[in-house]
Amino acid sequence: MKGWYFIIDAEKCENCHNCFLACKDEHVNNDWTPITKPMAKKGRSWIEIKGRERGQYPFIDVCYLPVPCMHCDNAPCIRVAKNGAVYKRKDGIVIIDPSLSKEQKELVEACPYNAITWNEELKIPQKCTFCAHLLDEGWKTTRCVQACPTGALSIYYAEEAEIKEKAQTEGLQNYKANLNSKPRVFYKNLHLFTKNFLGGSLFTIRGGIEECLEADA
Amino acid sequence: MILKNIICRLARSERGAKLCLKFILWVLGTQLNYKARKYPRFKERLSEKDIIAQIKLRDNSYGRYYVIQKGKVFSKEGVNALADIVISFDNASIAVELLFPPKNYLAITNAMKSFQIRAEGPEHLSCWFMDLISYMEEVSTVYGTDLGRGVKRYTSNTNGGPVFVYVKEDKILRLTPIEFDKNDPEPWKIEARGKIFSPPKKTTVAPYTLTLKSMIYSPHRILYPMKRIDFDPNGERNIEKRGISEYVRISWDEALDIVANEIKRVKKTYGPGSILHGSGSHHLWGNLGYWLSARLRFFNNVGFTPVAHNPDSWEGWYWGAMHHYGQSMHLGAPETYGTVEDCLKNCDLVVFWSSDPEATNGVYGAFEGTIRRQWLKDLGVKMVFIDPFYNHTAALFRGKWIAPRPSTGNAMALAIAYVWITEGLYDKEYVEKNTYGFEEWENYILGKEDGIPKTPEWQEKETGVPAKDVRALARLWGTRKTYLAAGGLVGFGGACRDATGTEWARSMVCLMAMQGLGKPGVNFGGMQQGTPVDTSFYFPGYAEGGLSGDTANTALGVNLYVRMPQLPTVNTVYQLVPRLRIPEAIMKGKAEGYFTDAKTIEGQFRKFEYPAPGYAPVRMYYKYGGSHIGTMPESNRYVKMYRSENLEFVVNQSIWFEGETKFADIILPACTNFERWDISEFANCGGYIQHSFTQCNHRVIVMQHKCIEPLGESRSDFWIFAQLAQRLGFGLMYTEGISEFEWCKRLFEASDLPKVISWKDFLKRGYYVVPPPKEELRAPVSFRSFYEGRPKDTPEIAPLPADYSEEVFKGLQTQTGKIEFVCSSLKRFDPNDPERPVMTKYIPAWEGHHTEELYRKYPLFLITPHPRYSFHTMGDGKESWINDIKDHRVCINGYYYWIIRINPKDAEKRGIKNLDLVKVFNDRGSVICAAHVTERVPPGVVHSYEGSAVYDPVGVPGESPDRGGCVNILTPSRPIIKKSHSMAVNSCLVEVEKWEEP
Ligand code: SF4
Ligand code: SF4
Repeated sequence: MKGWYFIIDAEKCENCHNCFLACKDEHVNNDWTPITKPMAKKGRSWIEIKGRERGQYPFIDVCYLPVPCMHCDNAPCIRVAKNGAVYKRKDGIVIIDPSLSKEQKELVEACPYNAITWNEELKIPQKCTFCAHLLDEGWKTTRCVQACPTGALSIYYAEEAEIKEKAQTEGLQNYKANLNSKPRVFYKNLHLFTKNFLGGSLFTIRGGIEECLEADA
Repeated sequence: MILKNIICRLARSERGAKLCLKFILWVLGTQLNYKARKYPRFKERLSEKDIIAQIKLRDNSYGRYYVIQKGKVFSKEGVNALADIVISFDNASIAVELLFPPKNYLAITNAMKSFQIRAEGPEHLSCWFMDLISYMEEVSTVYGTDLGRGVKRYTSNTNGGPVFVYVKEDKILRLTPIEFDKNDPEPWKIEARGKIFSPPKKTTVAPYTLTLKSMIYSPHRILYPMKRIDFDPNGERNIEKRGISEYVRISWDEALDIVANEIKRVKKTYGPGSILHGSGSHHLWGNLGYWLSARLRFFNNVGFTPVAHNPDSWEGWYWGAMHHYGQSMHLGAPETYGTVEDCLKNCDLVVFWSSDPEATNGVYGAFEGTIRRQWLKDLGVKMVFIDPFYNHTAALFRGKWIAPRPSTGNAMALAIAYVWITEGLYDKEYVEKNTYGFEEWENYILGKEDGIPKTPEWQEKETGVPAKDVRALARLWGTRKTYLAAGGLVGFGGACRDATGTEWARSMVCLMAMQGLGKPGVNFGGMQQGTPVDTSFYFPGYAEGGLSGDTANTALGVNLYVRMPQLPTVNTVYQLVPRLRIPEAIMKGKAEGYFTDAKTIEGQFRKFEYPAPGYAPVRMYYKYGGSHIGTMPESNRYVKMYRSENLEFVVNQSIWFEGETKFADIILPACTNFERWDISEFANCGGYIQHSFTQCNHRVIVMQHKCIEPLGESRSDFWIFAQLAQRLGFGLMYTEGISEFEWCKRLFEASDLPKVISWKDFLKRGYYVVPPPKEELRAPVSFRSFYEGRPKDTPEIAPLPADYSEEVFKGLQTQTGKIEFVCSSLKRFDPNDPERPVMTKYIPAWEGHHTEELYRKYPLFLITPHPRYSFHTMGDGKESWINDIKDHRVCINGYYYWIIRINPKDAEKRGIKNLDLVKVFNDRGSVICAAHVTERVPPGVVHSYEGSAVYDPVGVPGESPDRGGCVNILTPSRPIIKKSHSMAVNSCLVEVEKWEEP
């Protein structure tokens, strides 16, 4: 069965927050019931940009990792939810039902990716819906992907076998794969965020003067 | 049109004309009733007033009057002595020509200028009646795309890119970038190094554009006219309460009456010049409603002391670089035609020097340049980033980072020249042929003049950058075809705004001259500007003045005035106040400045003084928008100024209740451009950034639909000015009897659009993408003809013909026609100015590590570049979603604090941890910020953006710490050099300490 996946390139994300803002634009003050109710006016969006600085002045690297809901195939939130308040659609998208989930604050803690937010005003847990209301209307893309200027974000509609193969050939990885929740979000260049960074410059002393051997970090 | 020709021919004889007029005036009456029957909104308008309007010939030989009563019109032939208003024409043939559609605006303008058409009666009634007639077309207009289920998709434009606007039941659902469809043209293609590059068929948007919905519906919107509670124009004004007291809601009539009466009062009491007016330049977007259009038309007719702008984001380029190679029309920054293609094809290295286009989006350019820089990276072109801050462009493209101490970059530039000279790594032939004065500068570099060779070791003491790094950079650069991206757009922001900004920018030109500016692969730019779009298709930029009527202070006279004839407007007050000296002008009654005049190099040598001979001192301040406290240096001065008795009246016309707005006596609520009509193009400024749309991958011209009704009682600027104009006797002169919608149509007709799309289709689709030109017709590469010794061939009339020393188009704008290492213009103006010598030299910053006493007290260099997420103050504060971006502001105990970035070593010394609240201070004031502890700034440097829209003093305004984040409170107000009107906001010494909320 075909379903939706995110493919996110950590190398291309520049922390511009267009995705974050586009998600707010789509959801604050708009009610997309039954998919979701309006997002809280203030606070975080449903896609978060995690940042990591590696190294020390003057040799540093900065990497950003956009983190939406992982739409896990083995989703902890579905297991924790009462009255089937969280469910998976046929296309793989995980949805928190806005009425069934009322008062279920424990769902916020259930997500190991910290993707679920608590809407204090409406007393409901909320998260990225993969813009299901738009895809259902025939949109070809989600708001965050559409607004991303670098191509860091993309979505992909495929069979599980296809994405697995793609992951293999392109070196795509899940973030925190050890959690075994089977995320539907695949990252390119994840090592920039998870691994350490080595930087420096090589120089020699020639005629009493320091000379660089190579101008690159 | 054919019908009109026939009618006009018929109207040549007096009898024929009268017959036609009879018919036209009869139709007008029936049309008014028809529209009222068909459109409830028209009926509503019609029902606003009961009047008798007369249209007639001046000799009373023919006329028809319209009795408008209870939303119905009854019209009758004849002349009615009881008419409230009378519109009269000199003769019937003029009347026919002017009244029969389609309108001929040239004929109308001519008739108005020669008084062949007149209006009598109360201004507000004639304006109302004319507006009603203009509204007839607007009300029946179908616009936008119907998406079903009650959703309409409109278009609008912003200073961060054009957008689709989805609206349901008068509420904006969403804003998205524009995705083109099959009707839109195929984009350009560039073949370079075996690959083909072509941009995607869509537009990008800047973060502040995506936050607009939260700003349009912000709780900080001003929805009603307001009066400071303790301000009484006829009694106690309580000036000292400005910035402290609350406001009460008043009616539009009361607010407009107060403002109009104050205008009259100060003019009558003190004389011309007593009204000061200035604007922030970023009141959203649009050719008609923007600051250089509707605003100027109004103030020119009032007579005002304008606030003279400094070249704020260009400083060093304007006051420095220009003297070496001209480019005055670009404020001293280089032109960039054809550079995207040349860079892709030929360049091996890009040096980004104080350049962060990923943060500033060039200017107005959204993320159009990002993909092009990604192409460079894909091609393996090396990138080096020189900036005291590890900026966002550096972070994305991950090149070598070199961080000179702020305000010392020129030392590094001179050392690079030293390496090139001593190692023979520059283009001697080019220097010989295309430049002037090199030897003299060479002597200085080598130390023959002052005994100090400008070696990499010498610069290390100034910049802190190891000599070996500079030597390596010089060699890399000297042996590769290199583009220099100096500034975020090229020549914009950053180092040009510090105490050595003029000398730094000058060196940028000198370095490029040594490498052969204009040779294939050797030019200015970081792929931010210079796409191969069509530069010949005419659509004006906002600096072309729109409906301002002002050919002196906008670029209206260049193209638009002949295409869109309109009533000219002239400000008769020859008095100016330099923007950076407004506080001194008000409080001390004295100020001086130099002109920002882009016409010619020498334009900047002219000095002006306030007060001007024979003019009144300023007594009233009409402020448009509220940004100075966040964007101007040492801004506590501006706060104090508002509390000066010399300012008897302050009115602020603003959309939001921002930091500066609350110092007004009367606040007039303007609406956003989503609530009114306008028309514009993506990133097209025109004028001082000619062809700035070459930042974009596509030229996108946009109908800015009126997407929703104005919120509350807010109104368009045009409406507000028109209402005031009525009270000052020039209502009809202001609007020319037509609505904003009709002005849009008029501008559409003045452009090249009618050749390619009908008004109807344009209104419906909302945008037009100009097809790219054939490859052979693309603009040539800037400076290529100069390098090759041919006449200038890029598509711009800059420099002006008179500015060539020999033949027009031959050489550059300088006296020698060459790039001058020793500047003829400075030799003529002031050869002994120690602050701006005739050739660029290293002059230590007047606020920096050489000002020892100050440096001991305040050991941290604060740099305050253009912000990343907001556009100056636009998008900040106001409960905008941008506040929730953790790198813009941080929310601590429910309050959103501005951020200052500090190196871990400096933080540790001061006991500061990440996200601690800190007080940043110096002798000028103090600001409370949240600390980001980061390796992105070197030890000794702190980084905080300018542009806070929030000013929130914890105690007495102007004298207590600001929690809002206006770090410009700390920056020096001293000009870069005395003989300029400039700011050096990136040269600022501060100390930082932990702050506990009291
Ligand atoms: S897919 Fe939609 S809901 Fe999810 S983060 Fe993106 S914009 Fe938000
Ligand atoms: S829009 Fe794209 S580049 Fe910008 S923060 Fe989001 S993922 Fe990163």
